[in-house]
Amino acid sequence: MDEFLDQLTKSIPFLRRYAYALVKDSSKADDLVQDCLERSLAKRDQWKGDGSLKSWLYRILSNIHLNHYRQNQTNPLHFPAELTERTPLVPDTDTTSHQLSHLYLRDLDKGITQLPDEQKQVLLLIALEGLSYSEVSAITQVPLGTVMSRLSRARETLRKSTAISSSKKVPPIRRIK
Amino acid sequence: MSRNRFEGSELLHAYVDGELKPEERLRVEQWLETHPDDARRVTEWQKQNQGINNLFAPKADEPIPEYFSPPSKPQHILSDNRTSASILSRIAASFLILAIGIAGGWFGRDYLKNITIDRTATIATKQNFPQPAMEAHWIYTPEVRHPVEVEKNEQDHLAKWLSYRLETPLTIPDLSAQGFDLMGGRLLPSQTGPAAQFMYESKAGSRITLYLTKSFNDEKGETGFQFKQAESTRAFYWYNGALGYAVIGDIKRNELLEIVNDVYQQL
Repeated sequence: MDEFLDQLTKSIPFLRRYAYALVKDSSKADDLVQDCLERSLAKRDQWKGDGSLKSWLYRILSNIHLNHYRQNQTNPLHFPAELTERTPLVPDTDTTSHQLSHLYLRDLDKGITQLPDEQKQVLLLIALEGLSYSEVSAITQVPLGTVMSRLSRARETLRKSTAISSSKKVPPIRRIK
Repeated sequence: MSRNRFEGSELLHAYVDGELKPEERLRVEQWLETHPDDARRVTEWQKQNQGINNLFAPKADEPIPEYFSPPSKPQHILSDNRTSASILSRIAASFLILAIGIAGGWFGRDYLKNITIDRTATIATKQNFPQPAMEAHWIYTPEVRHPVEVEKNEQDHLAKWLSYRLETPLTIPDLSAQGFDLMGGRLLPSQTGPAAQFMYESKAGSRITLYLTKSFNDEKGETGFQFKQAESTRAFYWYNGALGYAVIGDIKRNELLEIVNDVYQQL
């Protein structure tokens, strides 16, 4: 068995998830993954076999994303901006609920899209891909402190972009799910 | 590591992301009990993590498109001398496969489009976007036992699922103020990929549908409401961003327009 190809294949679903969350477009995401796989095959002998292959692949993909997919898209806002401002502010009463309202998810989604790429990568590698801070530090090739400050800034931005929907009281008949 | 690996708010992040050792975790939990502001931040970040997973995690469960399978056999990579050549050829091969896939996709797409345009000259154009929406309305609203695929008691799942398929966060409008209660919804095929239909019913049993599909035009513009009528069925439709919307019912035009306004406000 070829361990490399085996592991490579097993990583594809995770790479596709990460790529999709980064670029929010299925075909662009698959192009990104394809680029990543080709590059990893080409640079195969650079992989020492010591770190996990998955981390190495995340690193390649992250680099391609920064170099080639950097914000050349106009902001793909799915919803007109005024809709987020329309929502009335009502004190929060529902923090314990694990059901996230759809408004919240929408604002979160939009907030993530608008994050600077470096912050977006760090946040997604940690929160979505479940990697440790030190793995992310290796993948993004920045010190742990930088990982943490990017994470912290990303979360603060998202908190602001979801502040309205987050504090919105869900009406008795839930219209937003 | 030293106990000062993380400092200040870093410790809170590390707590949220499971980076702490048990004794550190305990310390943070004790801290949070007496510091409501920090506790609120932690809750917020946990909520963000959960939201990110709600939004994107299902992507990893999708079947992998075939063109990703690494195009090689183990022998190709054995000897150092041949490595570069074989990798190059494999890369060339994978590019070729990709190119064929893309070209096939493109030509296939045009081919399919042409056929559709020929057969039903009116359907494929953007102006006739409400046609499939009305057809879906006619097919499903008379259903007694299976009007919807997913019922309103699974509304959460319905919204998440259809948002995922349409690649856009969807809101299911509440039309109870207009006297129409949500019944549920379904996934449908359309010219531009997956489409979603939500169905509502009045106390009197009249049914209206909301149909959403990805927009044909790439400009992602916004259009005003447009109107179409076929027999007693009326439809208002418009484009907004990545999606085209249609609201369809067998009710009076002004009643339908009120509902449309309500839907638009909520989307």
